[in-house]
Amino acid sequence: MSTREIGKGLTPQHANGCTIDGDLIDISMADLVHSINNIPPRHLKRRWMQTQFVNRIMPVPYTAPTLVQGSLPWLPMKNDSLGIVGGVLPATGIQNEWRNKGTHVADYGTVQLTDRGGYAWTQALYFETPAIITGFSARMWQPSIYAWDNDWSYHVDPPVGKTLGQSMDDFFIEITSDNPFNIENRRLNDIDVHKLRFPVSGNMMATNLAVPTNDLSVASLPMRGLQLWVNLDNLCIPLHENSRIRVSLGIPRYAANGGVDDASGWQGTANIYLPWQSTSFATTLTVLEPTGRV
Amino acid sequence: MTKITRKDLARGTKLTREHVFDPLQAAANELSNVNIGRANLINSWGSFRINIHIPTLDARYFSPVVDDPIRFAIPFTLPPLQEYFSALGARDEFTPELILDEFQMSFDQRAESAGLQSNIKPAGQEGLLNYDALDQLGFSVALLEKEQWIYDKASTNYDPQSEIFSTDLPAELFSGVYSRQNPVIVSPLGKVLTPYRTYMLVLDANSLYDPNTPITLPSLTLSLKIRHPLVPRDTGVANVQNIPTVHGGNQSPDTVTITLPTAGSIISADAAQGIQTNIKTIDQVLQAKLRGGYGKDSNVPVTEHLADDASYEVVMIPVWAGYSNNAVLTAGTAADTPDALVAPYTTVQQDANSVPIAWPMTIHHVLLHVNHQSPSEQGLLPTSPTFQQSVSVGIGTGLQADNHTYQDIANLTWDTATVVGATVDRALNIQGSGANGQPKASSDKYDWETLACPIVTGTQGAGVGYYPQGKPFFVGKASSAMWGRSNVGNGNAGKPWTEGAEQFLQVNWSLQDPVGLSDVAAIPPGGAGTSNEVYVGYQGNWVQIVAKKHIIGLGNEIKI
Repeated sequence: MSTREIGKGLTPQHANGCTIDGDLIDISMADLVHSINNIPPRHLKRRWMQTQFVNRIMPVPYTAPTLVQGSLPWLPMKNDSLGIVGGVLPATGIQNEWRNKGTHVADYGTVQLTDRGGYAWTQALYFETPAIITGFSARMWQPSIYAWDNDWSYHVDPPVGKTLGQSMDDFFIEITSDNPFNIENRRLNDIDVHKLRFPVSGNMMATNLAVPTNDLSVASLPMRGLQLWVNLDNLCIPLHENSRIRVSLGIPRYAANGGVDDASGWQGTANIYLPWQSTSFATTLTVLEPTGRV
Repeated sequence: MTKITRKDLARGTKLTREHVFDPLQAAANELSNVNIGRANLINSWGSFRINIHIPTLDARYFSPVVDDPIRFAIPFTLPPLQEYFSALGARDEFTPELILDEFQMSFDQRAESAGLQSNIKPAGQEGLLNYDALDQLGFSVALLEKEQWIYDKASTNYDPQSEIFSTDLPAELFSGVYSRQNPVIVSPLGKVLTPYRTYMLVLDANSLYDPNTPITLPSLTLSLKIRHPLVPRDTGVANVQNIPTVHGGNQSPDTVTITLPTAGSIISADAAQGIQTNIKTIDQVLQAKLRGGYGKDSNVPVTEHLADDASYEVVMIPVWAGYSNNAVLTAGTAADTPDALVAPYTTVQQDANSVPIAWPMTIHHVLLHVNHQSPSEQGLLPTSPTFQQSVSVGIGTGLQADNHTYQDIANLTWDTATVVGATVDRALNIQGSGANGQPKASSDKYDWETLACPIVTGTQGAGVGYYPQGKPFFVGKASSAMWGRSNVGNGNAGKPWTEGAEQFLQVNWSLQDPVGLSDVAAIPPGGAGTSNEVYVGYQGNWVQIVAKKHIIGLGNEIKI
C-alpha cells in the first residue's frame, strides 16, 4: 500500500527484496518528519471556526409623542423614478430595477404601491477566503406589552387571495452572492438562500410557554403577542474566495386602498403604523471561516 | 507540542535502528498523547471578527455645529482568555498574540451608483436615490488605541493615545456604475494589537451632512478580522461551568503503535517490524485525518490528536439600536420610551437580543460598552443617583422546544455611585463643549464606558478577570447524551436551569429611574438634572462576549 499522505505520495516505497538504499530511507524519514511538523489543513478532520454577525433594530413605538421612526434601513426593493430625488431618472438610467429577486407583495385594492410594495433590510459582506454559510436567524418580537402591534396575521381587509386570521406569508429571507464577473448586476446574483411565501405560524416560539420556568436575573419584560423566530440552520452553503454576499429581510408595505385599510399586522387599522414600526428585529448570520497561517 | 527530529543519514553513515525508528516512534508518541500542537500545524491560527452593524449612520448625527469635527466610534477591548489573564495588565511570553488582518465596510446604496437621502428630510423622502450626492461618500476610518482607566484610575485623560491604522475611503470607491467597492476591504494589515487596551473604530463621515443634500448610510457594516493562535480548549468539570459531564471536555488519546525490530533481526520492509509497515502505520492516521475540536452536539471525538483545537472569539451584540431617527434616548425624550406609561416615567425600560448557539464555546469574559455618544446633547452623562441600569447575559431554551427557561451567565447592575466598581475604561470620542456652550467637567469628559459584567460563580470557584468573576461558562447545543452538565452559579441547586438544552444566548438590558426618567425641570419630580442627559447614545449599546471557540467541521457531524 502506498503511503499517500506522507510525502504526498512521493515518498519512496520500500518492499522486501528491494535494495536497502540509504538515500531512499533518508528521503522517507525526511518526509515523515516534515509531515508531522507541517501538518496541512487537509489532514485535519475539523478546520473551520465560526463567526456570527449579530444585528438589531428596535424601533420607537408608533405611539411615542415626539420621536419619529423613518423607514431606514428598510429601503424599497424596487428602484424607479418615484424613488429618486426630484423624480428624474439619471442619464444612464436605473442600473438595477429590482434589488432582490423573486419578491412578491399581494395586490391590495386598486392603488398598489407598484413603485415599492416590498421593503428590504440588506447587509453586504465580503469574504476574502472561502467560507461556509451555516445559519441565519431572524427573530421578530414585541418586547413590551405597550408597544408594537404585529399579530402575524391578515386582518379584516386582507390583500387579494388572503383571508381574515390567516397566518402571514409575505415575509421573505434572501442571501445572494454577487456575480464575480459582473458584480453590480443584481440580475446575475446567485441565490444562496431564498425563503418566501411560508406561513409564519410555523416559525413561532411555543405559545404555551410564554412564562419561562426560570428567568434571567434581569427578567424579561412581558411580551406582546407571539414571537416569530425563523432559524435556518445546517445550511452548508459554500462561498468562493472574494465573495460578496447580500443578506436581506423583506417585508411588505400595503398601500391605502380607500377602504378600511387594515391589511395585516404589518400596518394595522388605517395604516396607523408602518411595517418597520410593527415589531422589533434581530438577525444573526453564522459563517465558518478556515483556520489560517501567518 | 513539539516538533519531531531525526538523525540525518549521510553517505557513509552506518544504518542503525535509530535512524529509522526514532522518528517513527516520535511521530507515534505525538499522535498517541494528544500532542499535536500549533507548532506542528501549517494553519496554526484561528480568526475572529469584531462585527458591528449600525442600522443607519445619518447626516443628522453630523449636523450639529461645533468647533471640532464629529466622528462616530465604537469601542472594544480584547482581554486575554482567563488562563492568560494578568491582574496587572501585563503581557508575558505566554500571552497569545493578536494580529489585525482585515477591515471591511459596507452600506446599502440600493444597488445603484448613488447616495441616499437622509432622514432629516420629511417622512417618506428618506432613502431616496440621489445621483448627485456621490461626492459626499468619501470617508476616513481609523483604529485608535488607548490605555485602560482600570490600570490608572487617577487619570482623567480619556482620549485615545495612538493609531493602529487609518485609511481614506474616497468617494470614487462607491461611485462606479459597473464596479463599486461596496463592501470595501482593506487587507492585509498585519497590525499587532495589545490586550489590556481599549480600541476605538472611528469613522469620519462628516461629508454626509450638507444642508442641501444631507445623505445617509443605511445598514452600515464594519468588520475587523483578527488572528489569534490556536490554544488548548477548556477541560474539566472542576474548571468549567455547564460543560457536559460525560466527557468534561477532556481528551482521550489515540493508540498508535510502532513495532520496533529486535537486535540482530533482518532489516525488512513488509514484516511487522518492517520499515514500510511502520511508515504505513503513521500514514493511516494521517489519511483518517487528525481529530480534535467539538461537534455541533457538544460531543468530542472518541480519541483525539490535537492539543490546540481552540481559539479566541468575540461576539458583539447590539441593544437599543435604531431607536427612532434620532437614535438617541435622553431625559428629554423619556416619554418616548417603550413602556413610558405616565410621567415622570418610572417604569423599567428594556431592550433584548438573542443569538442562536451554533457550535459550542466557553465564555470567558462579558464586557458592556455603554454609549453616551450624542453630538446634539454633547454626550452628557446621567446624573440622577437613582438612575440604574441592569444587564443579564444568559442562555435560553424555548425555540420550538418542550421547555422555556433561562440560565444566567453574567449579570451586572449599576448606578452613578457603583459604576466605578465595574469600570474597565472610559473613552472620549466627540470633542467639543457643552450643549449650551458650557464645557463638560473634566470628570465626565468621556462618552463611552466599558464595564466588566462578571460571570456567575459556581462550585468551581473563582475565575480570573478585570474584577472578581466565575470560571469560564460552556454553551452548546446538545443531543440527550450531552444534557448532563457541570455545576453553575445561579443554578437550580447548582445545576443549570437549561439542563443542557440551551439553544440561544439571551441579553436583557434594562434601565430605570424610580424617581422618573424625565428631567426635574421639565417634568418634576424627574430624576435627571437636564433634558440633555443621554441614557442611550447614538445607535445603542453593545454587549461584547469574549469566548473560546473550537475547530469544527461538517462531514458526518450530527446536525441539531
